Amino acid sequence: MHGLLSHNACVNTQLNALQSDAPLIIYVDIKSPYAFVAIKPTLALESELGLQFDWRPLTLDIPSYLGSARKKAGKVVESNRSPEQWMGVKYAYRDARRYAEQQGYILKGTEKIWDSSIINIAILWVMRHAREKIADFFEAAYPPFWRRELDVEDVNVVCRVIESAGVSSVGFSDYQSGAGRALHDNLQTQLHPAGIYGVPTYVFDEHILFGREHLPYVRWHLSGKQGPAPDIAYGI
Amino acid sequence: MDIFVDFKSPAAYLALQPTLALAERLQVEINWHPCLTRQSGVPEPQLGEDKGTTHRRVRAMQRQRTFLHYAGVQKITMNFRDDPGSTDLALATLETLAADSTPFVIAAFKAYWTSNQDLNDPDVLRRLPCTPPTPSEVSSALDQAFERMQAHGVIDAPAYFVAGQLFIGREHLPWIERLIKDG
Repeated sequence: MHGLLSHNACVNTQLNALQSDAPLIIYVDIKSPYAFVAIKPTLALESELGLQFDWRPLTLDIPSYLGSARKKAGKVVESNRSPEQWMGVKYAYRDARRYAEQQGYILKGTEKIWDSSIINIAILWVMRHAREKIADFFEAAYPPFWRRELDVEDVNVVCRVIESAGVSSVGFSDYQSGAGRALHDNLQTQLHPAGIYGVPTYVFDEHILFGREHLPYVRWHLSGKQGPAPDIAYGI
Repeated sequence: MDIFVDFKSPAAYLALQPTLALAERLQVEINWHPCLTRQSGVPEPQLGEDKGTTHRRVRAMQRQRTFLHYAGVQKITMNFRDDPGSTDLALATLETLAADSTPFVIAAFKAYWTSNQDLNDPDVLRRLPCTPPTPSEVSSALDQAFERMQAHGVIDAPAYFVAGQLFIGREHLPWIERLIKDG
C-alpha cells in the first residue's frame, strides 16, 4: 500500500480486507463510540501527512460478543448482558464521552444496537463518488447520530446525510440494496480471517492495530520513522 | 496517583515503565493496588465456532500481537505463557505491604514476564524479596482488594484513579499528566 488512493481502488467490485492503493486502511462503524472519537484525529493526521486513507466500513455484530440490550426513556427494557459486560459498556461510554466533549461533540448512549449497514455502505458510496467529501460526510453523519438525531436504518435519512455532505445521493438507494450491499457484505466476511475484529482498526504495511491510541505510531510510521517509535497514547 | 495492577496483565506490564517515568517527571507518589483480572491464553480455532467465539479468538490473538509489538517499541522482554496462571498470592502480598510497594511491583512484573516465575509460589515471592501473607490472610486481603476495585469502578488493569476520574489503560497518560499538573 502506498501513494494516493486511486479511483480504481474505489470502484472495484470487491475489496481485499488488507490491501489498498492507499497507504493506510481505516475501518469504522458509526455505532461505535470509540470509532466516533477516532474520526477527528484520524482525519487530522490524514491532512497533516497530505495523504488519503482508505476509509472502509466494519459493521459490528455487537450482540455476538457483548450481549444485547435495548433502552427506552433512559431505562434498560431488554438485556442479556452480564454485570461484567454492563460495567465494561458503561465505562466505555463514559470514557469515549469525555474525549468527545473535548473534541466539541455530544455523545449520548444509544438506546438500541443499530443495524448500521446502510450508513456504512454510504462510506463506500462517498469514497466512490466524491472522495474529497469524506470528511464532510463523517461530520454530517457521526455527530448527529451521537446526539440521537439520526435514524441510520432509514435509507431516506441516509440519503439526506449524503446530500448534506455535498454528495449526490442519486442511485444510493439501489446501491445500498444491490452492488454496495454486495461489496459491503463480501468485505465483512473477510475481516475475522484477516485478523480484524473492531473499530477503529488501522491497517498499514504489516500492521493491524485496533484503537486510536495507535495514531502516534501510525504518524511515526507513515512519516519516515524518525527517532524512536512512540508508545500508545490518546491525543488531548 | 492510585494505580490498580495485576502482574499477569500484559497491559499493566506495558504500563509500568511509562507510569514510573511519569511519576518521576511530575514527582508524584504512586499508591499501587491489586486488581483481580481474568487473563486467558489465545484459544485454538474450533470447528464450527460461532461468530462470538471467532470474535473473541481473533481479538485475543491480535491483542497479544499488539502487546508484543509495543514490548518491542519499549525494548522490554515479554514472554507470554499458554496458561497465564494465578497471581493471587502476589496480589495479596501487594495488598498487605506496609512500606513503599514500588520495588515489589517492579520485581514482581519482571519475575512474571521475563523469567516466567510463579507468583503464586511463596518461595518465589520471598526471593523478590517480600514476606507473603499466610494462607489465612490471603483470602481477606483479596476480598479487601476486590471491594476497593468495586468502590472505584475498576474493571481492568492498569486502572488509574486520578482527581476523581477513572482511566483504564496507559493510553490515558497524557490526560492524567494534565490533571496532575493542573493540581
